[in-house]
Amino acid sequence: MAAARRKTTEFLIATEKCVGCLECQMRCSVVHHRVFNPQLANIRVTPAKNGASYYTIAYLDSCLKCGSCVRACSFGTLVFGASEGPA
Amino acid sequence: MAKKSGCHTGRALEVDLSRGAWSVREIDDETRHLFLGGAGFNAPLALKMIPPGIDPLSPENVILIGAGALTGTEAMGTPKTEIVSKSPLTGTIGTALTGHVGAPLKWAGYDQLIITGRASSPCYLRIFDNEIEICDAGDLWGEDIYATTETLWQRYSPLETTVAAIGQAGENLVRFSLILINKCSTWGRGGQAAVWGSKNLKAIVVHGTQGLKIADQRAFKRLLKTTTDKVMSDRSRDLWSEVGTMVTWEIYARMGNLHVDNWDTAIDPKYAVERFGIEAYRAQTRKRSIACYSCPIACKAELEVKEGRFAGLNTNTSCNMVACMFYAAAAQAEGLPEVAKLNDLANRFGLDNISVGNLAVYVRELHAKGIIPSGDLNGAAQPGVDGAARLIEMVALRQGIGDVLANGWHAIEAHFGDAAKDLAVHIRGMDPPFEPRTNLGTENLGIFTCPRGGHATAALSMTVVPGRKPEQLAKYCGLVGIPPERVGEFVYEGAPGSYGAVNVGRLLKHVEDVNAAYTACGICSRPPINRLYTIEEVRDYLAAAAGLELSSEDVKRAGERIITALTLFNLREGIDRSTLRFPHKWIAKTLKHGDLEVPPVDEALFNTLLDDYYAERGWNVAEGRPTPEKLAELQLAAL
Repeated sequence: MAAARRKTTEFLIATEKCVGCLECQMRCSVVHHRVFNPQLANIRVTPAKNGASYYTIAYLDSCLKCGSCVRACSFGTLVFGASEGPA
Repeated sequence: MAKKSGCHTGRALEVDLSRGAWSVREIDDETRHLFLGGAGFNAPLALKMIPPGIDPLSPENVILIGAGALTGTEAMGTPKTEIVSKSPLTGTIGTALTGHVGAPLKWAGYDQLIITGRASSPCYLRIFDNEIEICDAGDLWGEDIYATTETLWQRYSPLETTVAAIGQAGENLVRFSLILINKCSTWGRGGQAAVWGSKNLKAIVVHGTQGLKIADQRAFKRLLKTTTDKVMSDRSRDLWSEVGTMVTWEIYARMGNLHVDNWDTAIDPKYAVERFGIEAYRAQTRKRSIACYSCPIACKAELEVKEGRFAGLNTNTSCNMVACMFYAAAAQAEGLPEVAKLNDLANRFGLDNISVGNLAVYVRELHAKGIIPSGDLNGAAQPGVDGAARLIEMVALRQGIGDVLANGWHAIEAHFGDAAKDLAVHIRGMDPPFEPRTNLGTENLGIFTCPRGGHATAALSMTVVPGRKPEQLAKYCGLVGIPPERVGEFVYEGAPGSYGAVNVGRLLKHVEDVNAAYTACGICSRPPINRLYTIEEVRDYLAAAAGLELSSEDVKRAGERIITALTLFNLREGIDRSTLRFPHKWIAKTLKHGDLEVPPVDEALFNTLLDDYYAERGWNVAEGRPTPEKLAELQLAAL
């Protein structure tokens, strides 16, 4: 299963479920840099500002598609795409 | 200065607003072991840095902001960051908690922020890692919190900055003004914003890029798996995540905990549920949930009024249940859109919802009894959204009689005299959120022992809901570190008080100690978070994340040390058990709750329970004062 996950190229993002806890960014930074630092994460959750609702969620080009962020999300905002996992 | 290996940065940033200078001081290993973090670091420093007897609104007052030991890590629900100063509302130690500020502060490289002195003109403090700047806030002074926050977000865009700001109420030194963080999360209760206002401090902007390392990643990962499993198997989680604290609205309404006319009558539960309950909340104002850092619950919310006079209003709530308690019940707002409107106004001006609601019913009674003439109130005594909105504006802007009301309960009593004194319900100058006549659990007794006056976050326990069974209570005793051989001293038939089955006086000591220790770690007091952690798990997290080698007894003992240090601050101010006054309404008046007339609490019962509480603490019972032996045992003798 781990190999299949590494091949996954799609994460599905349900922006409306995001609550801004930043667990995904913290997980990404600790997995890849061994430090809790959202500024080093390959996923960026930007809070609602200037009257706009919800968050914007974006992946940087440096994302390795490891899926750590998806596993850290407990609100169902990030989920693996259909290609994830064994057939 | 060496950086610590764990998630403590070991650094405190000290900013002197008078001199416009800053420096970094070390937080030593002994302090980390004795006080754990955040709220713990603040307690002894408040005693050392805030001179006795000062005016809380003078430059001598000190602002201490401490991030929890686990704050800034991925440990779930551990964002709590405490602000401390001498409270301008109560004259006691003033403390308040938020779920923001601490994480970015630690990512910037600081466990604690210390602010002293007074700026010569309005300013805001910018902390971006090692870049510290005291900036001119002339253009922001007079603006409300939402406008201030938006301006500062825009100014530092596209960086993801955290903005803590005060509104006009804080600038005008209203003694129950609050600080709002990122337009949502509060440092409420006790008038912390007035302390900022007195220092000409409009806002703090924080951004951190340094991050936090932890001591043992493998152990941390194992612990996180255990916590995650508990979160995902919690059957109440989905509802908490959707409607937040409104989960408890119906329970509180049925208990009679929501007063509608200055503590004489409880809200009709049927009306409360139909008009303000979860279904109405979903349909009328809830838009989405908002989380503090690392929280798997997300009990805060963005509100959007869907229909009616306030249609389109968009605002945030830190705790919609509290907004309903004090606007739907006390202020008698007509519906949830009106609650949202009042919450929005209080957020923008920077006022404490609890105090505004309690003040609204009090003013209404003073007006009904002819103590305040109608002309002085300009409609502010009217029940409903318009009256309460007028009251908020008068207080925040100190208009007319609002100038008196803004000075808090002690000043209000002094102004209106004896006739008004028996009508005021407050403890040491802070109006409480809980009603002890319907349920005398630890939180209802804890409002009398809480170092910051009539609030009881540190006293929240399973007794918040009445009718727990002896076996449940006995199990709970174990969770707060009471050894099995002593449980019989706590849970027994005929225990004093309406709760029965458990001696809430004795239990309160242990609840406060554990909650204080958890708070020092950053763990939120909301039940779905608090119950995720046993004391042993907290010990293990502290070892894995912060590298602290402690026993579970050490962890709880740190909480005892924190409560004791905060109490020492009050004792130094001459505030001890002899100066405690039980609100007249609670000891002399019945509460109408539907067809029931709930009797007052016997003053002797309050005193019996407090005797038991202080005896359990091992303190001098008559004075509520730690003995020299106890201070030595807690390694606090130097304080």
